[in-house]
Amino acid sequence: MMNKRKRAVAILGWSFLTPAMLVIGIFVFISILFALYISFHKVNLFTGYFEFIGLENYKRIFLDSKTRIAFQNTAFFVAVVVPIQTFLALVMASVLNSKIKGKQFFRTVYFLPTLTSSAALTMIFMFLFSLTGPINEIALKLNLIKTPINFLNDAKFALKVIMSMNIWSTVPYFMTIYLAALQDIPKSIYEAADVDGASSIHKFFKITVPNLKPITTFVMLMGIIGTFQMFDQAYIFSNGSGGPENSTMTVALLIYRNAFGQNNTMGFATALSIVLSVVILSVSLIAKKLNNSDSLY
Amino acid sequence: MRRVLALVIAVLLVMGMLAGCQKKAEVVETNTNENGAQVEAANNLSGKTVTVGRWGGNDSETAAFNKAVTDFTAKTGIKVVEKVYSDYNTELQVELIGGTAPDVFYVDAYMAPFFIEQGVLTPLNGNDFEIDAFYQSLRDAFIQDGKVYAISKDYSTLALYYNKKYVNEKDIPTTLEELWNGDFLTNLKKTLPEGMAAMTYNQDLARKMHIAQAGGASIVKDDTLSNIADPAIVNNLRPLIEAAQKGKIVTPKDLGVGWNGDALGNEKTAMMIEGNWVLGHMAQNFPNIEFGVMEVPTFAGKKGTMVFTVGYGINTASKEKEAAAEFIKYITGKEGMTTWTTGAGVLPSRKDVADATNVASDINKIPHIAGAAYATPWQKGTTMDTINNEFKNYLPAIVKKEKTLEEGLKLAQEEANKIILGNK
Repeated sequence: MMNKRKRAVAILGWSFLTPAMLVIGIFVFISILFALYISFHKVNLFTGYFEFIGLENYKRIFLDSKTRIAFQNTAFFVAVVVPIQTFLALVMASVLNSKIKGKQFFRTVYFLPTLTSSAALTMIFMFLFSLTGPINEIALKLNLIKTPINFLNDAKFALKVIMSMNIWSTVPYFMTIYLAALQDIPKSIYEAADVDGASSIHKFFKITVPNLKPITTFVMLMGIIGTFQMFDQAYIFSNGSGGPENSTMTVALLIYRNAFGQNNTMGFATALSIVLSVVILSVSLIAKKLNNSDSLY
Repeated sequence: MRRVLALVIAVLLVMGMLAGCQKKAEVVETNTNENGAQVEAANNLSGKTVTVGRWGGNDSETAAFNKAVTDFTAKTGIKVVEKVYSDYNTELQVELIGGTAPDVFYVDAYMAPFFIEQGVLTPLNGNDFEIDAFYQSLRDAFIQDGKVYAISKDYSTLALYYNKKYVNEKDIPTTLEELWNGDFLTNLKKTLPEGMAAMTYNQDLARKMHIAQAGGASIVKDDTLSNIADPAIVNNLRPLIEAAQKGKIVTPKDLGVGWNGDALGNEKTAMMIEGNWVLGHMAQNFPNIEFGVMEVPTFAGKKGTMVFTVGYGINTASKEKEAAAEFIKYITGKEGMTTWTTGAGVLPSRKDVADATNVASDINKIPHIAGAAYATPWQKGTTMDTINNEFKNYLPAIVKKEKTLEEGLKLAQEEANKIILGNK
């Protein structure tokens, strides 16, 4: 009797799991395995041509100058964007958590960029930073520069414009996560610090920051994953070319360029994406270790 | 009882999910005309369905396409299902690989060599489609090794646009060398309001291949490799690049607008070289701007411009090739092309349709039509994408004088060839 019942429960459990398993199985696991398979081949998916070439695709990643530039750009992008966005989100969250007037209003206003699509944001930023746009105009009026800077078409600035946009648009999202976490820090700790005469800066670094460590790990991981995969902004910004002078060529954009269009080198593209995921995984693990989030508890 | 109920729910869930897996493309049934009394049942294709893949256009293009399709179905009884893509070449490529691509689809001339090489286009019998009625450059764009792979539906060429308020047509130099090397643009700029440019240009090979290849040079060597740093090409591009370096001409991006059409419309530039697709844009968004259109000034002593064309091709994997051929025959035939080009306001690829519809009565279209006779098609083998991409990549540094023209183009060529050879 008991056995029969157990079995029924098991069947029930499996049947509830099946839909999700099927979806994940087909669209995630099989896709990953197939990508892995393709990455060791020279393929033409149009004609169904498969030729095993071992590690050739992977070898090309390390010999190709374009790939090196793409990884350099992406690494630079991550190294600048992630720390800044994490720090800004933390600061803004604790400011909005304090007893300032109209914080509900500010919370709403600050959250708005997150709701806008990144394609629209890119267009807006391209207008802001254009040769005759507001940024140049203000800088000219304030006598910061003598002639307008061509931010969009200058290899020195293009990626930095995207960075600023990325920071601006992702900070509010992480800020919201921090805000939620801030509610969990016991008030008594702050009160005790007050009794000891700690300043608010002291309280921020000695109480808020350490207590939010696990959340910081999460925010950093999400930031690292998101920035390593940056594609849409670079694509719109450079019209898909990764220019000027490869300055906006990211790994994800390079993958796209190799997989679609006239290049048709799906094998190389999948090899690139697998290397990218390995890189993301290792950087995430290192970041987690460095932040040492487990030590708090 | 509860267990049974739970099981039933679970089964329903699974089934619902599987049902969701069924092919569900964004299919718009454009036509359900079945009672067409005039159906010419001469062939046995009546009742068949053809899927047509295309990218979306403006309202008048959609209306013209739908009208042509309705007429076609009434005539032949073949139903047409339209499939509209937004990121056309990427989505189509995925569907061709996945085997779900439409029977008939748009083929951009510049992608044609690639699709032909992949074997996804069915060779057509040219005589069935009256290909001799088409302009030669448009017909040849889809012919490879004597085989016809697609039939041109319309075309666009580039012409010179100027704002009549600021520019007098008679003053415009008649050669590009004079325009870019001379003082015309500098003097014009002095008469314009502040912040307005004399002329805009694009940092894209698609707009200047005829200039780069003037005198018989070719941007491609050995079938696939980039030849962009060839001394002849460097010299051909020099007048344009020097004008850009001196700031006589600027890009629309420099002016904070998306493209030439907006630059002219918002009075941010007095002149530009643009395709006839801008005519509808101007009429719709900037009806108060008075502009003139003239043929692109000559270069190296010859008339030249670029022509862009799109054709209809048949998917090799199609199961309805006969019906698909009927559709192309109609839509690129006299009647279909008349409906399409007059409705959408585009230029007909057939000379007989051009004459019959009297497109030349539109004074703004005359320079564009004239260009079709001598234009260079935007098409060059299967690696043009890479060649152009590296050109676009290094041009900004050249214009900013961080690199000389020779250095920059050499880099663009080397970079492109590295990719092309690596892909082999």
